[in-house]
Amino acid sequence: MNIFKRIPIPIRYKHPLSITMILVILSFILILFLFSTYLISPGYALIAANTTPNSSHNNQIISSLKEQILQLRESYKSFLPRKPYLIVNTSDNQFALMEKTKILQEGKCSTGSYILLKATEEREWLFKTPRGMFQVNVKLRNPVWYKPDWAYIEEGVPIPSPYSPKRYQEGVLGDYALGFGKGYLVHGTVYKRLLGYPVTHGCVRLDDEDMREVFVQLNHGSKIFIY
Amino acid sequence: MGLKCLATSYISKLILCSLIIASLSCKAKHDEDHATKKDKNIVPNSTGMPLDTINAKITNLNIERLFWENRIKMAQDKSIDLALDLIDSMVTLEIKGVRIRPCKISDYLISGNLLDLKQEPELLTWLENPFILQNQWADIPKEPIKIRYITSDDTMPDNYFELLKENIEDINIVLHYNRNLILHICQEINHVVSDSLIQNNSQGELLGSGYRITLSVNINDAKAIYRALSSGSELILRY
Repeated sequence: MNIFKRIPIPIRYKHPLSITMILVILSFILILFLFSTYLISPGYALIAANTTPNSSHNNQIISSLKEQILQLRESYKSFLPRKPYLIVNTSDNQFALMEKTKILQEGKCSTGSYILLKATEEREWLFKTPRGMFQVNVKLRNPVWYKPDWAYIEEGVPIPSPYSPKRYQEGVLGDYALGFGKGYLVHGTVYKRLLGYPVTHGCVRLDDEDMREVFVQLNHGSKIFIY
Repeated sequence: MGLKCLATSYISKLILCSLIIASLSCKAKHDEDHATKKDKNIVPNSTGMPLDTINAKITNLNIERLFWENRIKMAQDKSIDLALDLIDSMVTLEIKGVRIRPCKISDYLISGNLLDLKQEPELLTWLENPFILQNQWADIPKEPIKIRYITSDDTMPDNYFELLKENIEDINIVLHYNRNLILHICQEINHVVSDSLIQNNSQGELLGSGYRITLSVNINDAKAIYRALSSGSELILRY
């Protein structure tokens, strides 16, 4: 009983529930404060951003990009020639007859020698095969070669008149030839041992067997890619 | 009444202390978890993928998208161009959308600034259009021209076939594109050779600070690439 008497402030306990309530409220405020730091911390923000709306947004972006890439790949495929085409590699003197991405025939060829022939100060010729994309503009069976001036100069023989019948030579271009502009031809050859070497005056020489297949597959407008 | 009040007070204090301790332990655990996640760069999401992985994936897909967009742009013109795909380790000569020479890259090296660029928002602007070749150097001639003078005793030499072959053991090529992209092609990656080759060019200082890629490809591929490209030809890049 004395214990109670020793308590000097009974008046403070007039409203004990209020004090309890204050303490509880204070504790909730403290808890809220502590949790608020948790809720607004950067890590939580990132998690929140990626778990709910942004993750699905990211997935949409990824799907959309994949879809776009697929469409672009398909569009790119449309650039492939629909008809068979020829690729000539002047660096290694190789050719490939192609249909879409499939190789129909491949082998050795001869391309421009890069010889600069100097006859006089004014007259010179560079024997190179042009690079780039070309189209077949003429198909010839049993082609006849019109022998140009440089051929006579190379041989060291007098140059005949431009209309001389001596200029026309049969057989030296093989059985077939395809013209692709500016007098350049893809043709057969009698100089088989020179296939694989850069020895021509600008034309592309193929082995006769290969040339036959190329002649059959390529038509007017067929593409020839030379690099 | 007094006992009841005292008991209520003690209980309140006890509850308060328990709540404080619980909150503090909860926050400490959260901080610990967050620190662990930050350290490992792992931020989970609903797909279960880390955030960095998602961002990297989106960046890579954007690079791939631009690569294909530019490939189509490049196919519009008739020049011989280059498609450089470091992800597939391929460098390809192309004309009008036709892959005329795909070359395998045996090894490659990317400069630090180019790797850093991958983290920057400017990357996509930088890759938006094909690069255009501005200057090129190599230790082989662009065109292997042999001059032949016609003389009265002009005859075919005995070693004719030997003369037709180009005896090249190693080729170093430097291709300088716009937007400060430098492509160095060689057969074996050697930093000393690469640096000296780039610094010895007339625009050495400019090139030294460029975004540099060094490729190792076989000698025939390197020769074909160098001889096929002309000034103004384009390049597309995926890395």
